Amino acid sequence: MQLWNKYKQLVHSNILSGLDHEVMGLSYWKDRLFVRIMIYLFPVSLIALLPSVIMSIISGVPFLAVIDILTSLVILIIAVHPSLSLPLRKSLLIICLYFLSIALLLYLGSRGPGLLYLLTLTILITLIFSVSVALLSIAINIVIIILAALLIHFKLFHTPLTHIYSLGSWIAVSSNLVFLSAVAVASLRLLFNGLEATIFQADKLQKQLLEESNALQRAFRSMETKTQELEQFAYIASHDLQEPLRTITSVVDLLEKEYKDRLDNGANIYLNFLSQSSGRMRALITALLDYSIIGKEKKMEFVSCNELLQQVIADLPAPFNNKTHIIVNNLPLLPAYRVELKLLFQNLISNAIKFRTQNNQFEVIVSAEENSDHWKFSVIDNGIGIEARYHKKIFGIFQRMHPKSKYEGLGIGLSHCRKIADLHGGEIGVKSEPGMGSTFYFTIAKTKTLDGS
Amino acid sequence: MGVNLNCVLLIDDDNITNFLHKQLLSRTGIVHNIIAVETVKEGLDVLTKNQGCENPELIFLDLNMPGLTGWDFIDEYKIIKLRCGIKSRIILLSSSANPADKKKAGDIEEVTAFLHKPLTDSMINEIMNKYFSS
Repeated sequence: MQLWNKYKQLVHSNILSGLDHEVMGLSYWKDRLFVRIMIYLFPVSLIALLPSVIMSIISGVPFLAVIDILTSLVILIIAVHPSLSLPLRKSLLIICLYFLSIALLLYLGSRGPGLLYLLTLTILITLIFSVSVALLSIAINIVIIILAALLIHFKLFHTPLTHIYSLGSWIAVSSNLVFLSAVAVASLRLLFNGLEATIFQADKLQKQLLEESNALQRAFRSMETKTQELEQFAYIASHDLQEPLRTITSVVDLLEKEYKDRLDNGANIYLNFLSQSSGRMRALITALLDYSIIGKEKKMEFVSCNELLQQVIADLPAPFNNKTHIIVNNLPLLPAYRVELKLLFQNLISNAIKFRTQNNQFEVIVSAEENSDHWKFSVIDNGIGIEARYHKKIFGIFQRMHPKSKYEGLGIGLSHCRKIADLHGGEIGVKSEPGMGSTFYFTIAKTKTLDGS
Repeated sequence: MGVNLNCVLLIDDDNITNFLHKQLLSRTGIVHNIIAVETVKEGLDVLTKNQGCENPELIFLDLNMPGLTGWDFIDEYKIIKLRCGIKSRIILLSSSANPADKKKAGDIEEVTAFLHKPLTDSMINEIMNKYFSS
């Protein structure tokens, strides 16, 4: 068995060495087929060899026995010779088999497998060569038949062929070979062309797919870079803007402290505006800076959301910092970014407090629901609610729904929440109607490992 | 310059901007009645509820406001215009130079001009010469 495997390996590497098919097209499979034929041909030929040799000697045609042995040897050489080129191996095999067929034809006539060999050869050629070579093989078969016909007609020398056949009977028998060869080549050609078209189509599609996936990957990388650049820009811009702003606020403060009594009413109003505006600008810039920093130092760890919520509630101002107002249903322990997740809950609950109604007893319910690939958290309040047309807008940066005089704020909290949900591979949204309270929900994608992959 | 306009409506969520614009317009002495509001809703109320200024000749409108925006105001204004037959010139005052906003404004028939905050004396002069000289 080991010997057989070694032999198989040897033939395989001998014949296919140096061949590199880019597409596994028809020619590739034809070469593979040739290798397979060469592996089995010699051992199998040995099976035919022994009876043939014995019969040849008994029938008094030792020459045929020599040809049989020679053929087997040539086949062995084609299979194991280390440095023949592939086309040469193929051609040698075909020539050798043609010699065998002709010899069989001449010495055994219709009793022998000569015509059968010729048909088999044409099929073999169609299998391992191109169609034009197969057509050539039909032509060679015809030539052999004609030569045999001439031999029979003119009785040029004595062979069993001339004894058995008259010209008419030879033509009748041999025309079957021509017909069968033609049918075999034509059907195989149709099959091969179809297969080849399919293979190349598949290859083309595969290449297209690869190209598209590459393009997609490039686009993704460029988007990633752009996002990073943008975050960097926001960080630098807000950081550098703070510098002159600090000077302005300091000067305004000094002006207010030292000159308030010496300025008239109008000047004091302007000074007040200055102080208001610069204060607001500082708050906006700080918010922008916070926004750009979110997730920069993120660390994935197992977070007990129950504990997290207890901390959030404890940090709330009285009278909201207790469980009569904020009901926390059983929450999961999951891998998440603790600091960011806490900020998310803080923002949602502070909003619920800020936009509570005077009529209802303030109440917030926090709960979570497990899905196949994510956790869905809900924060339900009984506050003033939000019109449907603002449901998307509220998550934008610096988007506010109410005038400053009614509700203080920068319009940054929910955009922080959206960014944090995003960090967790999740989404955020709201279901609400004016006067009916709001349900903010967000999802956290389930991760198997702590590095978030 | 005498009084040329009966009523001007200022819509801006920033009370300081409203104050400054109001000051500026009063100083020019061309407007009899200046009304400043901080929300779109209040602005629409001025047009529809009898507050002495149902038909302002000129509306200065901020785009980016909490809740309803300047765009929403324009949509409502179109309906009121058809119903009540008022005819005001709307001048958009934006604090950002977003080209998309400018283009959008250019496509709206009701919008007379798109300017950047804050208003100045020369801007007022130009507006008066361009749109209100007889």
